[in-house]
Amino acid sequence: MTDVPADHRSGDDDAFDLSLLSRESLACGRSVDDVLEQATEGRGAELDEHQSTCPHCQAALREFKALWNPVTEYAERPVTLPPDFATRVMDRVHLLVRDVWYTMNVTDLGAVRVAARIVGRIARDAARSVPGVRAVLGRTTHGRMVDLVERATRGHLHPHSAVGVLGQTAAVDLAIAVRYGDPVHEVAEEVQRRVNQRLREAITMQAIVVNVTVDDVIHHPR
Amino acid sequence: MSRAASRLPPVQRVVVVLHHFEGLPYAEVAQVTHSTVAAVRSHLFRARRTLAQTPQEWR
Repeated sequence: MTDVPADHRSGDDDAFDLSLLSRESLACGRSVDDVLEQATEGRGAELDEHQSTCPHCQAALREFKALWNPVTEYAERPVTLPPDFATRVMDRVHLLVRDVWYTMNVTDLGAVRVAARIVGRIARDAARSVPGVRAVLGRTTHGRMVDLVERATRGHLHPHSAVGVLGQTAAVDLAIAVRYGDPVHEVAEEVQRRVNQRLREAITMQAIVVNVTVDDVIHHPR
Repeated sequence: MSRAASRLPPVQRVVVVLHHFEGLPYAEVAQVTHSTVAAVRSHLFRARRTLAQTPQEWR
């Protein structure tokens, strides 16, 4: 490695200067990201005209390839599943589907459940926090996620159900009335955003679908 | 290395696994993640810098 340019070296004579990875470009001006991409994509030997004479690029390509070798070796290792993998997955699936009225977060310490009505309450309150909005839980449209949750959960076959939960997924239907003159789409999107944010913060849900139907306007002085 | 990968932010971890471990091209990673090729490349740029600096003892 005696031909590595001095600006790629750290104080240790044998060590590549890793601080180069926090810089935007090599000393020759080439983008570090582009050269790193070239090395990690296995194109380190495909030198363009500049690289064929540039010691900075050549040294960086060689060193990046060496730094990336553990990733390459790791990716090539065969994946072996534990013998009881399928059983463990299905046990979790059965556990999820059994708890149709609760969210479910399985951790190493046990299971955390939150009742679907709590999800609905939080969603409704979040929607009502948008100025000028009146909101009720209610079924108005059928999103894809709602259908999936319904199919998997017997408890949600009730036609007036407005909240569907399964595991860390929730689907909420909200019907809202907006103030006359307010931009309807913007208000509806703000409702979706706030409900999504509040549910993520409050219950750590991973996937949330918020279906909003605007079905009324409210006339009142501003 | 799995420890290093598991410490990446979720989005970066997903694109690294799909592209570098599973061998999906950028376009397919973008399709799977409902993203764009430019966004996938951007996440990979950051992830590569992190992984390339993985401490030797973790490897």
